[in-house]
Amino acid sequence: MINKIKTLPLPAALLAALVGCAPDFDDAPALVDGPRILALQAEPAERAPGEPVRLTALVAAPPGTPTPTPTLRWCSTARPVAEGRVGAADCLDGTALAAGPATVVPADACAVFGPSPATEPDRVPRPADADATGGYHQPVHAALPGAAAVGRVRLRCPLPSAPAPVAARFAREAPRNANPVVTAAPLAEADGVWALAATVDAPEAYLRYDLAAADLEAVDEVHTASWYATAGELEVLAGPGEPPRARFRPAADAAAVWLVVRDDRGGVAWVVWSR
Amino acid sequence: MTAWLLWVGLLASPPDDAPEAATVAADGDAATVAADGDAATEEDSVVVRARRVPPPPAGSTVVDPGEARRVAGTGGDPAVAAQSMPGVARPPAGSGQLSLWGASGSETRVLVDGVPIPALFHEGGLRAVLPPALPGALAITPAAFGPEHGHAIGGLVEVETAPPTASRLALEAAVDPIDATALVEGRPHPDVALLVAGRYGWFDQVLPTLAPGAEVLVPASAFRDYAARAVWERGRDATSVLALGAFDTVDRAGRATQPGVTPRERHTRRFHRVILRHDQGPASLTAWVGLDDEARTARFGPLEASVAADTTRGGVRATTRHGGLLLGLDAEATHHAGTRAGTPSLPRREGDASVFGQAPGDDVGQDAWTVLQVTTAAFARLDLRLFERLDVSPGLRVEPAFVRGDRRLPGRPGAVEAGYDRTDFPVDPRLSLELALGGGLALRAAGGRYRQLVDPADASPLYGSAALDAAEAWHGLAGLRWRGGVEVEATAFGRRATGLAVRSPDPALGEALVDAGEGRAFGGQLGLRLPTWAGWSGAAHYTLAWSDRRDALGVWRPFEQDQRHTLTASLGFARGPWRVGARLRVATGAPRPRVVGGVFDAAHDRFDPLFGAEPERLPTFRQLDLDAEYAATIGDVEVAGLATVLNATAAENVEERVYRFDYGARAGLTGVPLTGLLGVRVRLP
Repeated sequence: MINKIKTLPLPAALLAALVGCAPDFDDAPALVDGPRILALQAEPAERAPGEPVRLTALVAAPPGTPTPTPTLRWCSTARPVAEGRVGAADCLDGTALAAGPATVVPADACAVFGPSPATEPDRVPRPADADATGGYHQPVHAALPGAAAVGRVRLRCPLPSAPAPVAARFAREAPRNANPVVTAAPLAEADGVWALAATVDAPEAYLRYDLAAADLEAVDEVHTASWYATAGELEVLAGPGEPPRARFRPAADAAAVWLVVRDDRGGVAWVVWSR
Repeated sequence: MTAWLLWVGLLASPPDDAPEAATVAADGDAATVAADGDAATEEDSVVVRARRVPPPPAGSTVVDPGEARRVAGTGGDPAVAAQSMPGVARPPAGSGQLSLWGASGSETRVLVDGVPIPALFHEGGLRAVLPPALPGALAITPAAFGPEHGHAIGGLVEVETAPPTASRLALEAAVDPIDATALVEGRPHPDVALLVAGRYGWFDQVLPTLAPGAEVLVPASAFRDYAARAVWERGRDATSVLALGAFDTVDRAGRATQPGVTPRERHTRRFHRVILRHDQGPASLTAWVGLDDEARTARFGPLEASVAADTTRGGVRATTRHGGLLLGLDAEATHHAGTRAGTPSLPRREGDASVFGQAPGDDVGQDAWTVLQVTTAAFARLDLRLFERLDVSPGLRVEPAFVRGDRRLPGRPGAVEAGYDRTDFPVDPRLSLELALGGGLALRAAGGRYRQLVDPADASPLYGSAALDAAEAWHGLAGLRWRGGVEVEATAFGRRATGLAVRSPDPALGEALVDAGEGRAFGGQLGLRLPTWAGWSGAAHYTLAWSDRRDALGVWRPFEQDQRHTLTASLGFARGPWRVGARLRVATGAPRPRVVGGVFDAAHDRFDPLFGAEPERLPTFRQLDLDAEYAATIGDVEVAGLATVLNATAAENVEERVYRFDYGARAGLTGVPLTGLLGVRVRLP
């Protein structure tokens, strides 16, 4: 599979159709032309409330550009039930953040963002829904001057919606998530084109609570690779499930390429090639 | 971009005695029918069997199918003309919903011979779900309808099927780029009339060839519909059985803000109705059963959501009239079995803060539930004439309702599943009056209270709530109508709704939705109808309206289908073999969430939008449609050439906003460009 990603801005073009004319933008989502947060990594990748965690942001910038250090703070409000975004509105715009740096998972994380809401005298709040891997997540806001991102840390919460034996087995046997391990091959260059390759460890198997069967099922996690680069032309040569490979023709002498590998449970790792 | 399509139609052996346009003036139980919509005169009047059509309530509009077919841009489908009638907001491209005076499509009830159907149009709104030969009178009442009807806090769309007319076997077929229709009708016995009709839509196969990428906005629906009717007429009495149904499947591949992701959605909708009706003198009895099923599956990359429902429905309706008193019973039962899986953010609800192409949430759930709703309404209306100039029609509708659900809370291990029963006993007053002021001028007013049971799809313990009560609305309107040579009507209207199901900002278990939403709509409408003169005819109507909604957070905001200004004008000219027509539509753009930027979602490698406090509006919509027809008879064959031009001024109407991957730039997804349709119609005797 070859997927060309232009990291040079292109002029806008109009796609004409009989009904419903759709414009094209100068889309260059992989372009790094200034300081930009590409990923947030939690180490360990899955933590319970009250446990310490080390958060690292991948801040990408063109070579020679100062790389600022982002401010990392926990979001404190749950997103509404039908909110499609990664966090609540006041998390995304940074107006409802916990005080202090994000170093310990908040003690109420499973209550606010998970399946165990704090009960009130006259009502039982609706618990959050898990994602497709059965996971719950504590959002974290990362801010740079002029750029922001929201990532999240996978929470180790109990399974109150599961039968007690299943919940006990989950607590006992379900392994916590670990970040993928990505190893970059040395950069090989020929005729001004970079050949880029990396290896990723095998996806982990994990236990997921199946709502319909009310039981645990073993599932393999899924890795996805995202490429980013400074100005140039980047061709992604590997498809899903294949070791990441790409070609890059930089537009300038000083250039860089970033590969971010995410697993679908929230784990993340990255490698960088630069010259 | 201009496209010329060939539109070919074949019509075989229409009944010679079928008036194309008919105005029915009820007088007792017989009726006088005047062809072509002219007033009945001694010379051309004939007495035929026809169903009594009560006078339309204030604010409503009734058109006959012949008149509806001549509206430019409808493609000859009479029910599609409903989209251009007074009180109807301009539907967005690709929408089959009718928004009446600021009410949503789901708040408006669509009736065929008094029996509810899920929608009047196939997905996309290009064609009605009824074969073109079936609709008789089409009435739209945007608000304040009488006590004969309930179950809706918005408006009412009523289709009366055309009475049988063919005196011998008749065949009819038509083909165009959108669909093919066929009709067989006849009288195997002088007292028995049969009709079978069907339609096969192929627009889903034509559109991808003609318009690559068009399915982004305009769903290309694979649609079918059918109708079969048998009528047994005995003097003034008639018994009929009508079976009808429609199928829609829409596969849509949209445009996502997230690079590399193509959202896909499949929507299927089917319904069937069998309607038994008996008319005997002033009394009428209707019994019906129906099956509805609907399923929607959406995929956005690895995220998937699905909603499905199987609904069994049935009802009995009886009315009788004694002088000025109309009495009736209206019982209805609905059993809904719903399943749903995936994120609560799909399907989107009105008022959700999200934009076209935005990724849905990654949270998932799963639910299955059943709901039984039974209503037994009794209604009465007294039509009084006072002082020879004041018509007053007070009415009352008493509609006891019983609702039973199988689960109140989301499924939990070990929990005993507790169902629920709920009863309601509303008494809804209705009033309509008309005061003749002389000189053709009349003052008209109407109002009442209306209720609508919760949509069973909202009763999911996980995604909705089993605790939702019925919504309620008060309607009121008043206006003046002058009928001289010209008919002018000015109407002011208002509607206030409470108990609408909306998202809960802080939901309790089993209450993702709450019935705390409110709605208000008010405004005025001015209509002008020109008499036919020297071949000319015309009509225009303008609506100034405000429609707002208030969610559980208590802040009024514009309703997503709010159109502040709506102007529709049509002009026609017919002389000899020529007929030409034009339709102009101008409408304020719909509100949309205002995007003020984006923030990177590092968990999903995409950007999420940031919204401003106030919504913005799409640009004003303007479209001029033209059509011309030339008919000639060659021997026994009638041949007609038909040309239609959609969007004759090539206006670039923005139907939706689309955004760059980082929400840093936006553009408009435009609707129908300048499009020409050429066709031929052949009629064989």
